[in-house]
Amino acid sequence: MNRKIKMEGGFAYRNKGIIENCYADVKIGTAIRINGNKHENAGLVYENSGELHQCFSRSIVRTWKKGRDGLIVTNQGRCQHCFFIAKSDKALEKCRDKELGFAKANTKPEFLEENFQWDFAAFERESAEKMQFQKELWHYEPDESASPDQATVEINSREQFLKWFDDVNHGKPEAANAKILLTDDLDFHGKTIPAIGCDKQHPFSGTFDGGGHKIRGFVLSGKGMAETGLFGYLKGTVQNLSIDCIVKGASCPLVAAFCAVNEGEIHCCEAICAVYAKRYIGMFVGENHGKIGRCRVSGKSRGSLIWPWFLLPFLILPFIVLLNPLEPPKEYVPVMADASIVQNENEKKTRGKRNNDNKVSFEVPETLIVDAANLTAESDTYVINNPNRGANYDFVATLYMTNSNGKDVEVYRSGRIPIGYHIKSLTLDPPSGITLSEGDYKAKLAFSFYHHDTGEKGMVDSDVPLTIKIQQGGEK
Amino acid sequence: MKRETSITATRRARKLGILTCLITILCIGISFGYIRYAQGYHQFRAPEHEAAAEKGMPELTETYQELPVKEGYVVGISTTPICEGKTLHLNVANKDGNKVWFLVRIYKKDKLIAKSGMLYQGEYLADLPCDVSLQAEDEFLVHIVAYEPETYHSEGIARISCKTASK
Repeated sequence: MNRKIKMEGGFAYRNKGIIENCYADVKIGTAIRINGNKHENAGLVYENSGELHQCFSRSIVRTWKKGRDGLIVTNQGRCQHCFFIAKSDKALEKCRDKELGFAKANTKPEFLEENFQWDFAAFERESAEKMQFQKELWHYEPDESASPDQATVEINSREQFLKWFDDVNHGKPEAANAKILLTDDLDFHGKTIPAIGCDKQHPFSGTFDGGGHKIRGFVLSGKGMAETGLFGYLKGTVQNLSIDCIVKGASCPLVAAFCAVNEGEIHCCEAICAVYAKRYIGMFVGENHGKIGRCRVSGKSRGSLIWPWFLLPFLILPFIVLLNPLEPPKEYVPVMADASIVQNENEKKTRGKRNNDNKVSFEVPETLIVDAANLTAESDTYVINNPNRGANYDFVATLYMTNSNGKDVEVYRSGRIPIGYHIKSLTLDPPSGITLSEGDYKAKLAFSFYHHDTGEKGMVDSDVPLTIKIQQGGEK
Repeated sequence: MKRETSITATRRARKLGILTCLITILCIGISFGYIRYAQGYHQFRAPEHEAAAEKGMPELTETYQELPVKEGYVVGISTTPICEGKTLHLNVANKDGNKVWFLVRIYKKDKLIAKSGMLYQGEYLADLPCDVSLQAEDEFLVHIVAYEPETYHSEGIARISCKTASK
């Protein structure tokens, strides 16, 4: 099994250079754990072999290990005046490096100033809880003497921006070494863009001044890349730039929002981002070999995009449809079943198996004994029975008596009697003008058969001759 | 303090949320629709009256016959009708004295190729459009599906074997 470990730092994955006056305010999740993948996360830097000065993290860190790393997982370098803020004392207790942490309530600027020589020149002091850079003081003035003759290229539109970094990625030296000044905010409205300085062979080596502006609404895709970030490989300087983006780097080994590999300098920049990646992640910078100062990162990181799991039950729907195909609609209105039907005893045991479409079956007594008082024929067994016997037809029984003119007169009509059912009583209902007195009468019982499943009338009507005996007290 | 979240991610989440909601509503709608459809599908739906039916009796031709059915009705039909293109001159009639309504269905080798609407008593249908054209002396089976008027109880199916007229 290809088991992978996700390693993530709230600000940087690996630091071999200098990071100072920076902070991370991110939420690092471990929600997706498929195929035994593990997560090891740190609030600020995963692996430090460089220098960290006056940095802090107030990240929410989740990790698979017992105990969390609020600041650094592996530290082989210098870490001076750095700390992390936990939500409470209880949360702090769960951290492995709790000696570097403070509960939120204890993080007062005065305390930090005294004990950590914290540089509050650019920090909000009024509200102790806020701990953010002050916008008006958070600005880096570059050293103009480094390249006094180089012309500044101003960018104020998406098209110019896209053209410029296309030139950088195609290795044009005038673009890769340019001095860029962003003069307006840019919004990409969800457009996917590649990294600036896409690999080690095509780095950005110039100067990019964001001028305090923000680039937002873009998506960075790490598909097929070794590293991804807005600046992929940076050897120049970036300053005073804010970005707001999504980074999709599930298949990319090294992922960061602002810069994947920094060998230059980054000053006074911020990244607000949502990162979806699975291997080595630094929320602001992936690997730092250069210098980063007064930068911040905020946002969240997840293993991968969340699936709408609750829709999964609906995937079963086509299978239900396939397994239960619709039968054709009924062709006829079924004749209503008789109200007095009783199921045969043996039917309850055999469950009424039907197997012969061309078979009908019925049982009636030879003599029907009717009570003269109420013209009702009753029997403990049955008066009309539709035994199963493998037949497939229900029936309607109609009783005819012959009147004095020799014509058949209907005196009783049952409802539908399904297969395996019988009726124990029937009441004669002669037409008006006809009175039935005691005596024996010749009659016939006619059966109309209806297919049990389809309701189609079978063209096999049958007549059965029988005697009706009307007497006082009915059957004795 | 509330953590600052990416506007790009929020926009995307909103789009995905709306899309997910729409898909969910669509899935629920399809589910309910299917259940309603499946419930209604099994129920009987009364066949519509044949729009091309005419009152009276068709022209009497040599091929026209009146066939009494045991269930107590008579079917008038040309048993060797002429087929022009896809139109079959069947001249099927539900005689005035019958106690049934009926439908006509035509099968060729167990395949339904034509069907009519309901013919009431005293009506006839001269021509019946078929899905396929019948050749001379093609055999086909006419199903007369009979109903008890108003109740739509079955009065059985009369099956009549016919052959198209030779040219």
